[in-house]
Amino acid sequence: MREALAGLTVRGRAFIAAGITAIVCSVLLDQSTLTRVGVLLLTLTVVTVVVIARNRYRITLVRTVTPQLVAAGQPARVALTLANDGMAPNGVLLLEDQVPYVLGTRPRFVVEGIGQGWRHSVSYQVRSDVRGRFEIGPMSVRISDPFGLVELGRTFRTTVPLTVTPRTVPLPQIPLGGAWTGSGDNRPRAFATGSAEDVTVREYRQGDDLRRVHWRSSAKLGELMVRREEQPWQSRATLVLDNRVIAHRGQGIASSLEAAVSAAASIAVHLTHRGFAVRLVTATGEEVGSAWHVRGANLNTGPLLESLAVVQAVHQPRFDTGWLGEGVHGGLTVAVFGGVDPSDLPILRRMQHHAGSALAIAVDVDAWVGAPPGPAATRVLAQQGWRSAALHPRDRLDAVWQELAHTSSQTSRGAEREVAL
Amino acid sequence: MNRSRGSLAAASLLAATAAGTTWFAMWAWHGLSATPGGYLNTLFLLALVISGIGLVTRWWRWPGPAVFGTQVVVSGMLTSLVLCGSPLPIGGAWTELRTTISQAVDSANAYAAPVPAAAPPIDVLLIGAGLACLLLVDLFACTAHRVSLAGLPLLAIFSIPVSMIGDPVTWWIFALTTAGFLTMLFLQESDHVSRWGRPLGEDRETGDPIAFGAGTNTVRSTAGMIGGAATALAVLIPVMIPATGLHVFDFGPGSGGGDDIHINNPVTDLVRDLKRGDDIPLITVTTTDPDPSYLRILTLTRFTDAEWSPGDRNVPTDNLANGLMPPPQGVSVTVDRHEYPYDVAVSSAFDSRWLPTQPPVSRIDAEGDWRYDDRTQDFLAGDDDLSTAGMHYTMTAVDLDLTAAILADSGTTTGKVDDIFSDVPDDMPSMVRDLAVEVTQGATTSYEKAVALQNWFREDGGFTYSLDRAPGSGTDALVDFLSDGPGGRTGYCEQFASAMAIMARMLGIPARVGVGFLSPTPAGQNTWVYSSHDMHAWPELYFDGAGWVRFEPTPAGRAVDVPAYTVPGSTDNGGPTKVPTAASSEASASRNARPQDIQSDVTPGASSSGSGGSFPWLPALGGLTLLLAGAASLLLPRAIRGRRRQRRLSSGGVEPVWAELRDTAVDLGVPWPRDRSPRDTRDVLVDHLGAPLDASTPDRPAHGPEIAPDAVSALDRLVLTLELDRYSRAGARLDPVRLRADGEACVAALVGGASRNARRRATWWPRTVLTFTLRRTRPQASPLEARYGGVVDHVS
Repeated sequence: MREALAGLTVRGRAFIAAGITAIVCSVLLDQSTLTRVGVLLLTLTVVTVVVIARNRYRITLVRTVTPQLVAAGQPARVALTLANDGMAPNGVLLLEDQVPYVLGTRPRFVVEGIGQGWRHSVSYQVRSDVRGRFEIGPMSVRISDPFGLVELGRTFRTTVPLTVTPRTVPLPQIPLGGAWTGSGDNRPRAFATGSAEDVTVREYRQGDDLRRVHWRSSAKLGELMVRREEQPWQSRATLVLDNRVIAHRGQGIASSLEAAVSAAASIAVHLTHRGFAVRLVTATGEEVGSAWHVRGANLNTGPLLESLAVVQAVHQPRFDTGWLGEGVHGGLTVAVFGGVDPSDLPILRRMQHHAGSALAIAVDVDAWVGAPPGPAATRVLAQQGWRSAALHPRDRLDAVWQELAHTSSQTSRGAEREVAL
Repeated sequence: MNRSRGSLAAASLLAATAAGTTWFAMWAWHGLSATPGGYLNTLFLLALVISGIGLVTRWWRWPGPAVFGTQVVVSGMLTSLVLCGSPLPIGGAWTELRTTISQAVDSANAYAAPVPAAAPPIDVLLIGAGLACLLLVDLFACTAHRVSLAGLPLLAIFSIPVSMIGDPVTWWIFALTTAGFLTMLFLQESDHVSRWGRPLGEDRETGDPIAFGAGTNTVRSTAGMIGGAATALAVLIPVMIPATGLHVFDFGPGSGGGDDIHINNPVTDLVRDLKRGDDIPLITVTTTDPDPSYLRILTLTRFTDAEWSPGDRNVPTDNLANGLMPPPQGVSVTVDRHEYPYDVAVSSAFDSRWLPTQPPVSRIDAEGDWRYDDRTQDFLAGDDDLSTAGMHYTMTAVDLDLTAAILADSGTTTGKVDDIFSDVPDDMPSMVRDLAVEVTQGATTSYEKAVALQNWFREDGGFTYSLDRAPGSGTDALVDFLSDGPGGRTGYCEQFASAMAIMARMLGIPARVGVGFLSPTPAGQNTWVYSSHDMHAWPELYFDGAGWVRFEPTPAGRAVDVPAYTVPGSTDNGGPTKVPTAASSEASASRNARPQDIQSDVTPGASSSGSGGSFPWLPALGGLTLLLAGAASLLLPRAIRGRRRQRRLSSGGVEPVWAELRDTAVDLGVPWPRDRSPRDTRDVLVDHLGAPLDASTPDRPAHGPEIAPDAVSALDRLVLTLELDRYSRAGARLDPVRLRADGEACVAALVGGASRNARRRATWWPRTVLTFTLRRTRPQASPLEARYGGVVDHVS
């Protein structure tokens, strides 16, 4: 009752005020018609409040989003199943799903006359041109009376995440120098010949040699375990994305950062498909959840793309280089750089030093704010030993990637020469 | 304005409802005119045209101002066509329109509602007002989508008859209009909802349903239920709301400048009171006068084509009714006189702006700004709020011993009185003058002429007293009344008095009409009661030396006696003498009003009905109802709480006892942890237990487990029983007597540990009874529930 009273709309409040005024005036002026008008306004509002307050509906909502990971520009479908376990509400239910505006208009539904046991499903599409992680929901429910005097708001609490990944383009196969060197070796190697304590075991599978059964572990666990005498090694690649504010120009979806993220996503997909275990490194360091050991060698690009979907520009003058210290040297490093400051040079050199092969796409950030296309940071990068190509606003990424292959040896050689000098 | 089109059916339904509601509301004006069809038919046509134009132009998405402008122009032209035969009021049509309007204004001013069919109709005014209301309602409800605002023109329609004739709007008109208004609200809200949400349909790509399709019947029935209940209550409840008494006279000074006050015609109410309703006692006088009669309320001085009216009055601020009055005009000092003190008590039902007096008076003391006119010596309220209702005042009436001889000797009246008392309209039909001359043929003096006139009206002229005649005192009514045809020579005191007064004026005798009460009913020693059926009108003629002299032309069927001095040759000096005519004794049995001699037998009854009738029953009933409701709202929660406690404690179950304990804690403001085990709750509760109440309990008693060890052990037993009952497989062995004792001990300890204020609040304002959220909604505080991926999420 109190909630319904608090939910009076402007019209409801005005009716109550006018009703009381009319009754007081009518008693003072002795006008029975005015009394009737006042009583009408008052009783209409009060009866409505009572009726709305007596609502005993209980609505359940099941919401599913398929797929939960979707590329920018691709649609996803939200399915809602609504059921009423309680009594029929004696008002109109206005349902609105709180969808972020970039996903499109908020779907609204009018539900009225639903009895007990009513169940219904609907679905609607969402689509976003902007990458990111969006919460779909919660659904808000407004119940209003037939005369617009009372309106109560309620909200479901659950939301469903939808991740919109950056757009990707398929890239051509180009030689990636150093992929098979260093720690990025994918050949099976003999297990380290240490003590038996180092032995790692796995479950017995059909076809395993019985001589490799590790009896001690089998006895302990109650099922057959076999020694693993070989360990799969990965082809490892590091994808570096420069997402510092100072390195990029422009705002929002038209900024150079978006182009860099899109390029990084394409490269990540490409490298993953070529069998690399890719980890993503941004200016703030290694992205959580995209480290090599977590993902293993599968081809699942999802976590990478999810990380890329939520990459934001950071106010940070320098790269965090903590990831450079760990692990072994070598492997493939592919970087997408924005503008390069002279103070970044030591870091670039260290990255190149750690990498077996260092490739870079230099985004011509100034061109994004109207400057004529230039060589971007390729020269500086070449000086630090990177194989690099410039990405201009109108360039196709696959062409630039191809260009990286063509210019690779030359630039590398030139860089080495300069270093040698 | 109309961005998205919506459905044509919905739009036309709304427009039709708006026009229909407005038109129905105008039925409330049927009391203003005797021929309501005259304006209702035209307005029905206008309503059709206005809503049709609005519908079409809005459907074409014309901007709002253009829609309204088109409606105004077209409906204005149509109105002009109906009223003066030309779509544009130019030239002759303009003149005709102006004439119609001015005639209508005259009719409205001249006639009391309802304006008779014979008079120039006031339809043009009603059509104009109705047209404006139709346009406004359509503008608000349909063009601007603000249905609530459309209630204001509808209210204006209702207020016109209320302010004009004081009649409340008939309940069925009110109910119909209300239904229409609520329908408009509902339609607009439905339209709003349908615009808000997604229409019923399927996704083009996948064929999935994209909306929750469900019927609207529930909502419609809910709307019908709410609207019907509100309308019924609105019709029924005002009967119970106290209203002030009935208005016998509701007229007063208008907006005249200075001290000139224009007064509306009060005479029309006369017949209403004579004809209708009960005989309500209005004025009680206490006097030593052996035979009080003719209590005058006011004097009508001006005769126009339309009516007798009080005329313009000059009431200077020093003419206050607070002392001696000037001597009666034109009365020779040789006339013997007696003075009688009057003590007048007016009932609250008599609401008049004129003070009843027994003319002439020599002294009067009345509270308030009552002023008198020197020429007429009637008393008018100088203050708009002043009324006679419930007044009490004293006056000294002068009883003149007039004789026929004094009147017969009176000299010329030329220049003695104001000319207004001799004015006769120029266009008076000659038939009236001819009749006056014919009747007074052979009479030489003014006195003889006056007596001849009186006798003619009473006996010789063949007049019949009847209340069935329509009220009216204008020229037309006068001619009808005097003509000797079918329906003629029939009327009541108003016609007799006005006809005699005007004929006297034509014969050169200054005359005026007095309005007041004819004769009182005795009600005990020296006490007399005037009631509403005693209302009367009579002519007063001026004779030099005798002043304004009352005559009685109304036949004996109504007024039994004539003043003694109007019987020539009478030399009786003993004051007004009853000279019953031969017919009077026979006629008295068939009188409308109760005959005086019969009433003297029922004196006690009359007096008791006098006090009983003035008692305001309705306000008293309303006040009593309010009082009872107030008392009930004070006592009811306490009673409910007490019953609930008794029921729970004696139920024999442990859960009701526990619930009672919880409610007691909540009522007393003791914290009761939610969603805790009984043992946890017990740990919180023991800190608030106190010694049971007695006379020496302080305002803030000490509490804690050590204060009330008995209650703590009772609580422990209760908790144990509850736990066994809830959680053990076998359940608890319940001992109802023990449970009840433990429960009562715990409740008493809780009450004993609470402060005085908390106890008082728990007694008179138990929250568990008065707050529904605690009892009802908390168990189901999550009416909505969302589930995702098998996880059930409770959402409020």
